[in-house]
Amino acid sequence: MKIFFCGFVIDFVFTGISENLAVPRRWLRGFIRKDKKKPADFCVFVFGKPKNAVSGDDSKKTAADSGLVVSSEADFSFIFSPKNGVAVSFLKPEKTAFIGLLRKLLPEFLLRKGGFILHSAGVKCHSGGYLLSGRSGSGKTTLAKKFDRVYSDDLTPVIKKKGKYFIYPSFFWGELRRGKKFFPFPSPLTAVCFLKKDRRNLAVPLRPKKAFMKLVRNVLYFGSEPDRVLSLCDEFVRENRFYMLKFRKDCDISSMLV
Amino acid sequence: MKNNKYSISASAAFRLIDGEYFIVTPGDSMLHCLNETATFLFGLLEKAGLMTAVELASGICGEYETDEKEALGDVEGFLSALVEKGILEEK
Repeated sequence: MKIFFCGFVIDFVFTGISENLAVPRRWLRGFIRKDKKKPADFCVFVFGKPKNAVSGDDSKKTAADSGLVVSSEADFSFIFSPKNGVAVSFLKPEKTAFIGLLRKLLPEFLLRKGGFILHSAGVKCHSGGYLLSGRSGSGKTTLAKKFDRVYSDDLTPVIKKKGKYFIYPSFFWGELRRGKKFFPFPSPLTAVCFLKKDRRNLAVPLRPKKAFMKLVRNVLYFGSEPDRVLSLCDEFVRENRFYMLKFRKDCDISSMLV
Repeated sequence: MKNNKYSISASAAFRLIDGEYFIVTPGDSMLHCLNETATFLFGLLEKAGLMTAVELASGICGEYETDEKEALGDVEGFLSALVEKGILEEK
């Protein structure tokens, strides 16, 4: 099974586990492709036993020293070699386990391609893409509902290609769910807005220090290489516009994003 | 504590943004922001690699108007807080 995510192909090879039992196909609709011509950027071998990919502190240390990324959760574990883009994972044959695996593995993949997943709603407004970022309850879904073209109301991937940042559609959605508003084509990023519910409607430009602090706090997972994530965030802050968006629930958000 | 040497932990990731240090500790993925004085001390440690509390305190006295005893107390507080968070290592 091949998943297209942020323009990259991820090939999943299932062994000893029923693909139908493990893969939430409805959840992934639009992202699974049968295109055999495009070679995979990453390959994930999925085995059907919920055991640790690497067990024991010594083995974990050896793996980390060798540049491998290791992660163990209750219903999945994986070991990923960034050098050749191959991961081996062990999974409970449950759809939630597969979603958990993607939540942890995809940031690792994106990191190697100059991208990350931001805890944010991604929307297309006018001709540009906007990230409306904030923690749970900050109003991401409330604002995303006001747009016709939405990438996600919870976790939106952003990646730098040919010197420009683009936001991409995501299968990680919050309350809004993926429906008619789902927009499948990437957009160049126009600005990042950190949300704050308020009695006024106001967009305040953020200084790099404040933007960096808010950005790092909303990036999904630090994974194995926090230093690399900090570098990405540093560069991202220097090359993009950031605002603190104070808004009322009944605001006309499109006019605020002009 | 005075004569122990301290260095920045190899696992801590940090960046100097707009005159302040931002540090991430990978164990808990927490972001820590340092204030002006702590940024100054962390900068000294980054440059020197390995320093004692006394050396850091004399660095503070050279930069700010404070006596050595007070500076040493502040430095010790800074060191123990950052060692506890895994940002610094005691050698």
